[in-house]
Amino acid sequence: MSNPKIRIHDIATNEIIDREMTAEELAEYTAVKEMLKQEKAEATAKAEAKQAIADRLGLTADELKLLIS
Amino acid sequence: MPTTTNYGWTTPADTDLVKDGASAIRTLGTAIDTTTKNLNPSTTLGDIEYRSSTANTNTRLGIGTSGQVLSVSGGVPAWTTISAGAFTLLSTTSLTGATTDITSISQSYNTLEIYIYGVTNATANGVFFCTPRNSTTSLTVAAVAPTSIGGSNEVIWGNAAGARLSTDGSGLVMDRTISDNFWVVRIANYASTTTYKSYEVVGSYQDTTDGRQEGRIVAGCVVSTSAVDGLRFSNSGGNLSTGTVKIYGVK
Repeated sequence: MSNPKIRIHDIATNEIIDREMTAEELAEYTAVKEMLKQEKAEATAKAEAKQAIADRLGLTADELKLLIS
Repeated sequence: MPTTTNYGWTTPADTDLVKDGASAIRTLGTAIDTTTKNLNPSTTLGDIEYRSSTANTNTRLGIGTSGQVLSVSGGVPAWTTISAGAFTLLSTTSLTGATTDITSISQSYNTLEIYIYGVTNATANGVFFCTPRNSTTSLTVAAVAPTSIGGSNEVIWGNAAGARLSTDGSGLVMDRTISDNFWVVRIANYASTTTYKSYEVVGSYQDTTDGRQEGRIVAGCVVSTSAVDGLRFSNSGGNLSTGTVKIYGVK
């Protein structure tokens, strides 16, 4: 399977290269994607925990927003 | 005596005597030499020529000083020093692929102002981000972005995703199919090799949850004393389909 594509625009020479990522570039790209995925999971878990508290207190999302604003 | 069509060099006539050949060749050679020199008056590294008001005679323009730009003065080219506050368009790049890198950014300005617009991407909604780089290394960004008025702040610290132009985890998710978006990224003191650089983002894009155009502000800094000479654009949701980046240098 081929690696994802990267465009490199050298603006000093205006040369544009479109090619597959090197192993090093792919490693950074994958690491960032994984990190962002983890961040999203954490944010979702946090939002769910917040909602669970609101539910326990019998508050709607709007009421909760009003309370913490 | 006959002459050539374009430069009027004198050439021997068909009826001239062979014994006069040396003299005729010398006359022609001298004329060619004079014309060539008139067309190419360069003497020094970096010289350029432009056409003067005299036919077949160019004017030499010596190289300017570092940071000067070529402009027009009195109807002819001239090297000019950029005045403070002036914007110079350094590049226009179309975004494509999983990642687009812009490299070799001139170090001759005080601030970089980057305009990004019309961005869409394939596959899924994700985080669109812009990472400052030095040569082949991504530089760390520390930043804070309010997720909504009265809401909690999104804190970004020290990773290769740089400053996020859109978010994916805490509301205001960018609709990947809607190109109605625009961001201005400003990196002050970007060429410094001794201090951190301030990094700010102001932008807007269409939100997936309610289809509204949402604003986004990110403030922070590039936590590195390395000069910023490149930028990386990527979207965690999939390949960039469309988008334009214009980089301006500000004096």
